[in-house]
Amino acid sequence: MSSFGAILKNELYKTIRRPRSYIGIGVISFICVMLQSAFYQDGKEILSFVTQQFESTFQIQGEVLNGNLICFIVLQTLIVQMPLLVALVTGDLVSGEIAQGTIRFLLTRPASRTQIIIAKWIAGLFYTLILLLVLGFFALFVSKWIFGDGDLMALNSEGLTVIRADDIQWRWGLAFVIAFLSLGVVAGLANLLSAIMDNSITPIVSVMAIIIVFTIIGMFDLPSFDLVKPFLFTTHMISWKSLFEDPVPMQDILFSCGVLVVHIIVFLLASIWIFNKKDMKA
Amino acid sequence: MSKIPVISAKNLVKNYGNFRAVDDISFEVMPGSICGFLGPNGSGKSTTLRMMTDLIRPDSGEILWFGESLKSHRSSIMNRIGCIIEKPDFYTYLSALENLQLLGRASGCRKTKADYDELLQLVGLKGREKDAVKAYSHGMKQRLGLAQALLHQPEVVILDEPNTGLDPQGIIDLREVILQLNREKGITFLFSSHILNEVQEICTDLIVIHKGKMVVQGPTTELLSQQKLRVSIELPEKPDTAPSWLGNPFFTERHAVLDGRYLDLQMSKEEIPLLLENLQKVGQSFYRIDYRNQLEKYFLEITNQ
Repeated sequence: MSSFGAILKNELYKTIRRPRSYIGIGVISFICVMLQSAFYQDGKEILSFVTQQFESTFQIQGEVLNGNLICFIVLQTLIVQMPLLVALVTGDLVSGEIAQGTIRFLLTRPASRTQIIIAKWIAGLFYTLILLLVLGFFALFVSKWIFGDGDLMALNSEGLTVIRADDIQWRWGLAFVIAFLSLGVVAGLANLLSAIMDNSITPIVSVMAIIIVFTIIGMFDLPSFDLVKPFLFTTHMISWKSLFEDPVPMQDILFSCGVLVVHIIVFLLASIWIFNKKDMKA
Repeated sequence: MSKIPVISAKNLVKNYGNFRAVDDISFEVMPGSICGFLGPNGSGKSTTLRMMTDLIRPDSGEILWFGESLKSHRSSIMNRIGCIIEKPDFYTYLSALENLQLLGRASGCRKTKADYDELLQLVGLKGREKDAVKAYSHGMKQRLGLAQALLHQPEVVILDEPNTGLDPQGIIDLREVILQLNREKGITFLFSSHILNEVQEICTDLIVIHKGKMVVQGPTTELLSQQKLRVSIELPEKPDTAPSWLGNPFFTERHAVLDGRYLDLQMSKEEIPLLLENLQKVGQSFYRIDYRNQLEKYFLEITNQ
């Protein structure tokens, strides 16, 4: 096995064996099950209250409360928590080893620092993918199994859009790809801050602080904010929602994906540069 | 045996802001030696050892391992050296064996279970390898640290205060392991410790630094031969009062100190036959005469403490 292959295998092994990795998986599973249970109990009542306002305009037929709607709601709910869960693990990948002292063993092996930081970055992406797969399994498959399939009534900035059940699978697929890119940016940022700092908590808190600040900037329609908004990754993290509009603004979505990919690359390159320059004094 | 130094540090300088931690340090470590690396706290020992292992980059100067630059041959050099820097820290959620397997993979070595068993036996952890490291005492972690340093059969091992946290038996075991590996496998050791008796016991060479600067380097025996020995005579019984033979000018001039059944004097090695002659002359019997170089005294002298 090449030295990079061995380092990558080690990083994946550590990610799987760390108790902290299971916090995110547990939280996602718990939130999904909790929402599904709540909607199973009271969903019809809540939805009839919501749909009443549309019934004067058009007639609703079929089962509105279905797996697709639950998945849409779960995704909108978890978009706030997912970055925290990703940062909880990826923000600790380097700084945790510095704080614990194990970095000294890693860096006195034949693998270069570049190989080590890339292996850690891949492990972070691997963990992000696992989280998304767990989310996809619970939010989409389990919801469809419990509530059945059906057309999605998506309420978004454009108003109410009805997506037919036979036209929705590709949208879910792309939505999860965009979610992966978005969380990949978070993982990359956490990895970068983790390479800069020497303790585990600060990178995690810093990632959340950056996301909160960027999100607040994105919320206000002020001319000075409008200048920076297109360059903030948080602006593009919610572009998955555009997949549930009709017609789908594919150009905008592709642009958002491009911005997210650029962020991922920039964060990775910055991590490599900083990690290679860093003196390991701890 | 090759006469190229295994380690050659040339004019190393490291600054932390305005503070110069290492100031123009140069030294060499020859193959097959056990070299003690000494200095008071804050003398720049750890920074130097970290620069030797590429954890910290020097501001200027050069480090050669086996005659090759650490900067340009890092990967091949790391394959040939093992180390414990500061204190051995492991992945506490993994077992000792898993930690070793992980670090073995990172070193690129293929090990069988028998190899790991042999290594664990050597450091005295056989039977505890499946325990999670979080349940290990500091002494056990030191032993595991030594195991990871030896994992890939290195030619040189750097040990940064390996005695810390070890019980007396652990210190003796570590000493035996180092001497055995040096004797049988020709492994060179660079050994930093505050336990000077231990250093004196096993180190063939000494490097002493102070306030970031080089103080002295050379073979232990040569450096300490300039020093008076501490000679200790064990008497059969504790005298009620200071015996009259202590009034003999030989004893008084050497500041004899009577401590229970032990009489301690400072003298040169050449004076020992004269001491025996004097003891015989006054009819004083004894069980044992011991002598010891005083590294501690020497260390304090050269570091002006």
